[in-house]
Amino acid sequence: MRLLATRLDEAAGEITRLQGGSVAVGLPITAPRELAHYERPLRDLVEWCHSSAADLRRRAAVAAQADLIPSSEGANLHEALKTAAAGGIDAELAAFDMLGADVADFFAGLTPGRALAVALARAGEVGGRGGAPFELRFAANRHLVRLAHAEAVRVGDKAAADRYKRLLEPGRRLLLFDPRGAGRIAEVKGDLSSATSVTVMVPGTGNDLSTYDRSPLGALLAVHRLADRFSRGKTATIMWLGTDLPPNVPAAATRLYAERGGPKLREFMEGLDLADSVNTTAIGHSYGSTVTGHAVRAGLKVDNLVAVASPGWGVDEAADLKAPTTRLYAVRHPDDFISVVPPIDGLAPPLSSLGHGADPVFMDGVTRMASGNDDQLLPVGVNLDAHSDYFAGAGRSRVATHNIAVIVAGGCPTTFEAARAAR
Amino acid sequence: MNRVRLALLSLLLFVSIGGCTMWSSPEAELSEGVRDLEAAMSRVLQVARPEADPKITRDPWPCEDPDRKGVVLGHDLKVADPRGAVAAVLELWRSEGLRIELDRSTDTDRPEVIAGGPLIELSIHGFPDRNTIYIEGNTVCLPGPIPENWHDVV
Repeated sequence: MRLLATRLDEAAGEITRLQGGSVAVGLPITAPRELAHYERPLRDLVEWCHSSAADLRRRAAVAAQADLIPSSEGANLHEALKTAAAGGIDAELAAFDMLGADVADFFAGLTPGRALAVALARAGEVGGRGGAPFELRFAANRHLVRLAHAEAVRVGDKAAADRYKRLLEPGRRLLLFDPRGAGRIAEVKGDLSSATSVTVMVPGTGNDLSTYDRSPLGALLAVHRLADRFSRGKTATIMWLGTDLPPNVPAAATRLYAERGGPKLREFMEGLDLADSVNTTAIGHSYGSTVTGHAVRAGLKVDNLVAVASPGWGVDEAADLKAPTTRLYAVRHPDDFISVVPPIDGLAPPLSSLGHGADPVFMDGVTRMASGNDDQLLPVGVNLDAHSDYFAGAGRSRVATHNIAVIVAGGCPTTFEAARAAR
Repeated sequence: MNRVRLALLSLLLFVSIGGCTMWSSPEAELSEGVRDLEAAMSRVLQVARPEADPKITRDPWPCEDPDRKGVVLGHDLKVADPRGAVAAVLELWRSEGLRIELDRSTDTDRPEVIAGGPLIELSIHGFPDRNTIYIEGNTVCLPGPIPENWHDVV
């Protein structure tokens, strides 16, 4: 196909050359008038050659993607890509490109094979598309990871290639993947289609696709391991990195990232199209909690909102979240350095984009959970390690993780006050 | 006067740093943490008295610092009396001097205990309705080489 495309481009170039450039810029004024009626057909022919060559190259690229799929992943993936490359689903692809919000209906009307072919041929659009069946999104994102891995190998980026290779291990299911820029990823553990509890977690400052396999994935596994057991295998837990997060602490002082990310999180969750009966929880760690707060303010409906080591939800009072039916929880080690952030935020100029509101652990209407270090006398501190020790880390995360998992599974966590009283 | 103050402050700083240096013990390595964890889990298994071989999961424990590593070990066990098993394990951990971070051992629906030591954290969760318990333990993030029997995990 690539050879044919090259020949077509060459033919177009030859026609143009023979006509002395007339195809591109019009006949020269010295040309005989009887040649005028050839001008348009020749121009059309050249355009056809170029567009056909481009189409052939697109199809060749799709066919070549099949070579990246190991045979262990099944022949149906090969078949789907070959069908797409050969033009077997051109009508479906054209219909997909014109789709509005009726994505679920569109895929429901296709055979499984054709639906998979569309998902792979339009992986960039299907991978993160709300309404598309979960299995097709997993397949599309896995395909995007495969392409990213091949590109990383091609350019010699070993760190990225290793990262993508780990994402291709069996059992990894992504609801979002985009390696461009800081990257986007959303991974799910558990069966999303049968889960009665669905949780979305958002990590904090400094996280992006390159750090995903460290603390974000660890937090996902730590919460899911327990919550899934508590709910008898009926929990699905998602780690969502679908927006840029502040790269450093000074950048985290602004609301800008949360204002941009909040609506994206709401859109992502709405795109899952969960049943009303599903118990939903949004958990944000550090700046991630600011993102979840802004998402709720932007209309995200969840049953539980959990702030972990939060600089603030972006509000001064719980009522400002405008989510009266959402149960609110917060957890923070007393000496976590984040404890000094909300008071400093209070000094920010009122019309600036600095500051994230009040500290959720002290808000009325918020249940403060035990963190495992609740007997410390001072309510604030500047311990840097403590800020990363809620899902894993330096050895005092287990109580916090346990309490969060209890909420996810629909139970009542141990409160800060109860833990203090028990000491 | 200022010179005297400066000298006294310098002396104080010197003594403080020297004192800290003298008294800080060398940091434990991952192999030591793993040894502690495996031994602790083994003692828990003896006390919990499972009715069948445990279903074991072994995973890396995520650490922020790339120079440190940790591991997590989970055991799903079938037991005749989950409440009794949790109570017995709580006694074990108390007798071993572990720090009891959460004691819900008397909860009828899901008795649970979380405990911590210098290098490890442990928890036990009872499921009386399923006649099972889940025990999970992790090392804290520690420097040093990964023990050979964990190379397939970390």
